[in-house]
Amino acid sequence: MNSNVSHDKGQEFSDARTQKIHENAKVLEKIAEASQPEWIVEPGPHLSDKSTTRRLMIDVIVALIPAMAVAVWVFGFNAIRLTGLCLVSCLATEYLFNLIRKRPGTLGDFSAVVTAIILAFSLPPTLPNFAVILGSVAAIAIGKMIFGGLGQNIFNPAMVGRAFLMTAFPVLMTTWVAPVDWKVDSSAPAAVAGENVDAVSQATPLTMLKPGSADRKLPVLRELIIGRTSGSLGETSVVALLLGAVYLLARRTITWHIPLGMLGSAVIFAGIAYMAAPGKFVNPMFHLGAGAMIFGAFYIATDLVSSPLSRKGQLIYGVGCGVLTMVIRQFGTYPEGVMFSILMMNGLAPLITRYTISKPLGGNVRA
Amino acid sequence: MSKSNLVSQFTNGLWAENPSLVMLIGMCPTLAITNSVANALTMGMATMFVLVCSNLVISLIRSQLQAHLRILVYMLIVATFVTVADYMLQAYLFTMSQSLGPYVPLIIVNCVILARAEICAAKKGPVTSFVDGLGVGLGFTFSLTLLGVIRELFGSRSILNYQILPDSFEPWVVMVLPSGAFLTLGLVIGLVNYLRSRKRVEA
Amino acid sequence: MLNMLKQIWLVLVLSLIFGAALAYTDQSTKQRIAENRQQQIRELAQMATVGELVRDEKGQAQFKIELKKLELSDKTLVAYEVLPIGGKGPRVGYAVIGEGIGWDRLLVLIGLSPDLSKITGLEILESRETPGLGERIKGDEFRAQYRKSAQKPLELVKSTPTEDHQVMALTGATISSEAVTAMVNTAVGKVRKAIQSNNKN
Repeated sequence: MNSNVSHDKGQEFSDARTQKIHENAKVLEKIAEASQPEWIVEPGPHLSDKSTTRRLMIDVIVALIPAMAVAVWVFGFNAIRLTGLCLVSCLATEYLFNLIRKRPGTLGDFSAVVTAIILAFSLPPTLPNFAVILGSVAAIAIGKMIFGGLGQNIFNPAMVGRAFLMTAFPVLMTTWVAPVDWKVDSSAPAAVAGENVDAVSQATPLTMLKPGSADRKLPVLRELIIGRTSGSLGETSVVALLLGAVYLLARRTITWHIPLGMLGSAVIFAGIAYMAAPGKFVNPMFHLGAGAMIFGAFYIATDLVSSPLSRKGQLIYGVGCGVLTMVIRQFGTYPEGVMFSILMMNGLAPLITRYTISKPLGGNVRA
Repeated sequence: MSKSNLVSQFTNGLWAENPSLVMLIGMCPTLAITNSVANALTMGMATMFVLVCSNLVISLIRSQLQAHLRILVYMLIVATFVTVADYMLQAYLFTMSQSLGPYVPLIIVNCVILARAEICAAKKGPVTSFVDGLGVGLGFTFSLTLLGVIRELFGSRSILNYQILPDSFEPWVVMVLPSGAFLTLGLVIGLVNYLRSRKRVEA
Repeated sequence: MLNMLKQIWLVLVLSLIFGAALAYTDQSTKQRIAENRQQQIRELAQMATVGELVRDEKGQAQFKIELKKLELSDKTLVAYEVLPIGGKGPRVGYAVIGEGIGWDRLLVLIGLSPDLSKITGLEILESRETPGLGERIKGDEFRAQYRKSAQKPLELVKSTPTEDHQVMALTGATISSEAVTAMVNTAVGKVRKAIQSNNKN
């Protein structure tokens, strides 16, 4: 530890022993550099696996393809526009940041691509271009690069970007539209007024749940599963998201702990509320299918950087996400709580890791 | 006290020991009322007034201070000047004092003032303390105004209520919210640290 | 005793000096502060009853009305009779100050027609709601909704109003909208009762 700290800061060494350690560390570093890839000297945990950041990220991208297809089918050109803009601006931000910080480029690890796609999928389809760009810049710059790049960020970058947009443009971020071919329905007020004809505004299934909402025409569960409802770009289709999730689980890119914890606790929470007051709360299955619950559980909360390391911790983390989401949905003023609950649990993740990390054989070593 | 010493005492507060950007003290007003330039300027001026006066008075009575009673005496002096400033604002800048709300009386507990009393006024002569108060006060006003400019420009597209950005610019509501204050402060401190580190390398 | 005095004389002397200084400041600014407050209430009262306020080049308001504070049995209620300037002519209306809590303390001024049957305007006297959300209660569009009959208590709805006594809440600012509506209802109810009982006596 000593050698590390002084090495980083490049301080003078008064202590001969520290200096020795420091020199040893340098020698080791040199050996490591010279002998790659056969020899890697690094601190634990030691993983002997072919997985690289790049492979993990590409897996996530592949898993998101079905959801992307549904998004294009449901929301049309807006889906392509949002995703494209997010991609370009996220990658450009990361590139510029590396340039300013005089660091080697990190575009090749594809993490910015994943951030861009997840951010795009969590935005309302009609969000104007400038807001999309701003959100992407915030996601990469404030969410990731300022902390020192991938692996150093406390919060999920895509969710930081979305939270920034949510607080910066609350009205734009809560303007939802119906899926594209519903606009022929001329009885909708916006179409009659002649404004905004290319998009009919419609409350999301979750907004309809809030007391006093104008149109409480809850979509049937089948609609939620296929995804032909209003909502954020990529969150609507349960089937497409689950398809990708199965792929991720099969490839072991994610483990079952976080999704199970999150979805399980949400269903139990919603179930208890439903049984206590069926008139006031809705069927727990509805909560599972509506909003970003599935998307959040499999793709956002499972972000490797901002979730706990230990399996037990991941389960606790998932349960926290699920419970907080349901608390916000049922008692808060916001209709959707996935973003806030994941950000909150992100903040707790290091603490959870610390208390659930497996203990070395023979008990704890007194620090 | 030589002239160059006075100058360095003055510039010290402006830059090297800028309260909110370098020392990170006086965070409450820095975060709470910098959502517009007018608020930030008024707050900075009011704090500077209190700082200069309290520094001067404390420096004058410093030989009589009992060590264990000094904080009490500081608070007495600071509270008096803050009350005067509050009344003056209410009488002559009424709308301003309304929009600052409870933050003017809160200058009493602003640790910039207590810090300068301990660090400078209780040890040095009245002239030095006066100049120190002026320097730190100006530095505080400057950093508050800088934050105010950024936040008002993006949050309400105006500066001093004069619209700068066109109507087509959608205001970023986050900038006038507390979270925007943290974001802006963090980014500005980052910039200041960058500038300072560059200066150190050159020197 | 002597030891004690030695320790506290400075605090005592300073307290005396500062006490005197504060008393002087208070004396010299008291009138102006009261005038400022009165001026603000008068400006808002004119906006709420007459509906417009013209300012000259110096930013000084050109008043068309005068305020006369009502002596009411309900001491918690502050209300004014709004008269044309110089007191000539019939009563313009009433101005009532409503107090309540949204996310923080809220003070509003409600203008009422002379016969108390209609709300002629609503102005926000003091608010510290969240900018971009709750602070939108200051917007003209929202406040204009309150200019309607005061016969029935207002009701806050979250969709386009279907009945006359309904007011539409601001999206994302339900709590602030609720607070304003509740304050208007209470203040109007109280002032009507108070003025009617005054008239009987």
